Amino acid sequence: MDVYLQTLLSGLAIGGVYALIALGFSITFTTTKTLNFAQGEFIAFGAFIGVTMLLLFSGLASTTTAVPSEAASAWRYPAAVIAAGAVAGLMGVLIFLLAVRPFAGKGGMNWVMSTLGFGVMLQSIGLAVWGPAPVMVPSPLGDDVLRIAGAGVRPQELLVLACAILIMVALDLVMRRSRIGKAMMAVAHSPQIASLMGINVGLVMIGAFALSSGLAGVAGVLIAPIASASLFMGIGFALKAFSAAIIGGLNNPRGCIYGGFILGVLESAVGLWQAQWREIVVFGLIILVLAFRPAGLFGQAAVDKV
Amino acid sequence: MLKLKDVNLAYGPIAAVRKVSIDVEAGEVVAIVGGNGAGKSTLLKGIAGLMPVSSGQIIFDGEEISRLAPHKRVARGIALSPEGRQVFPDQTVYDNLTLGAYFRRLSNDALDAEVEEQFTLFPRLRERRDQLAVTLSGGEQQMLAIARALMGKPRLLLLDEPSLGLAPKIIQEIFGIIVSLRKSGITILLVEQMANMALAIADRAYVLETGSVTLSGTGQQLLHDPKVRAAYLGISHSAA
Ligand SMILES: Nc1ncnc2c1ncn2[C@@H]1O[C@H](COP(=O)(O)OP(=O)(O)O)[C@@H](O)[C@H]1O
Ligand SMILES: [Mg+2]
Repeated sequence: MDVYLQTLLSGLAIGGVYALIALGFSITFTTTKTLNFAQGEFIAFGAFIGVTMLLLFSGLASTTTAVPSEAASAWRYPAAVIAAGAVAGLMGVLIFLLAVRPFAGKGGMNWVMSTLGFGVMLQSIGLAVWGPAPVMVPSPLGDDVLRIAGAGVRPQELLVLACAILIMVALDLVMRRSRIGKAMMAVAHSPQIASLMGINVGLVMIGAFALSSGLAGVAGVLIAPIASASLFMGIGFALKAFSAAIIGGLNNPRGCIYGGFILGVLESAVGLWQAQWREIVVFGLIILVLAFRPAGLFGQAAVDKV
Repeated sequence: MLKLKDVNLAYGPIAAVRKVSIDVEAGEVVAIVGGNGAGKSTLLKGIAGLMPVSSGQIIFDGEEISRLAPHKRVARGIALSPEGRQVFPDQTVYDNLTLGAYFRRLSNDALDAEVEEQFTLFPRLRERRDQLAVTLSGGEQQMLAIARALMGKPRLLLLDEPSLGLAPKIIQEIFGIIVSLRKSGITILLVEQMANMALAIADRAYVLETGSVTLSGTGQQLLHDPKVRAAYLGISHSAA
């Protein structure tokens, strides 16, 4: 029993990270009809900016393969999360202006190439700055395994899950209730009609990329204590999160969140059974879902009255 | 108030509006009539800024706005109720209306007061306040589209085929509202295929054919022009 609970909690934690990143995919897709295929590098950059901030805040040298645990204590870890989110958000503005806006809305797939290329450049820059070695990152809650109903849970997993849920509930409220959220929904429906409302559509699109990229950066710092920070970590997370967004329905932010959690738990459950089969079963199921529900599990068919 | 000088608008290589010059004076209702594909919607999109002019000038209140982004034109006082309604289907009637006032940054109380003004003008919308726009009938969506445009407190209201696909009774209702809007001092540029009704309420009108203005005059002049009657009112020369 306890092993199942343990599997469920780890699955939800990793699923929360997928959900954050998947939500980011959905945010740019609904507002600009484009995706940031450099999202993986934004996750890795997020993790390393987090590492750099932790070291900086605690006055330590920046060349190291493991961040000492006291560097993540007290205010330092939350501050690193916020800093990584902010820097990744700024990078999101850059990628939008340089690699997406010139091609968005013009038809064609040039933005796929340009965002992928931006990611490759980012990775090279990252390797030059931080080197190829993975860095162990401590959890602000320590590494002692907690016992919950007999199950052993890493405190960072609970922290990741709590942060992911908190961020997503807050965003959901903002999207549904606030003036800016309604403006984003309007842009998602039609940029042209939104502009007739006096909405500065270009600014909303920049904001969407900043938010989406910021989420990826935050996800990177959250997952680093579990997965270690590595410049090669991003692609796996981004691919899983993208799959989560597809099975949840790219057009449906909540669907993407559910997709993230479903994927995380599924992956964790299959891993419990046969770790080496994990990826095969997970992606096999994704293909199966799409065969029967092409718009994803929670994707809505367009409802428009003519 | 609005002056177009030799305006050309094109979709890629295809010219849709050619050298159109029109004037709209403050307080007027000006109609643009013409058949399907004449370029009426394209012209309104050009004025609202949804399409860049390929050449020519659009002057509003004495200032050239040809290169201004659409959201800035809205802020200057030009609102478009687009063809086919185009309400936000997955948002409520109330939210659609408040989006119309998005750029004005009103307080919640001020917003509620202005939404109430629209409900007085369009009582059918009041009953639907919290319904998603997609659940409204075509006529109600048209009223919502006009009310949403009015929430921007425009001085110039552009209406693109408000009668499209609606029952005669609803069309009467909507034209009644257009007349009452004119009384309240809003200048209106009305595009219609329903030429007879548009010409009947218009101070002046232009006939658009394959992208060019071919005829202009007062609403009454055009209403009684044999060519207009033959082409747009379904009345042949011999019958007239
Ligand atoms: N999005 C578009 N792309 C290409 N051509 C268009 C587009 N919209 C309209 N057109 C063409 O431009 C011309 C004018 O169309 P439009 O302004 O919609 O006419 P109207 O509103 O008078 O019916 C038509 O020939 C139409 O086929
Ligand atoms: Mg039209």
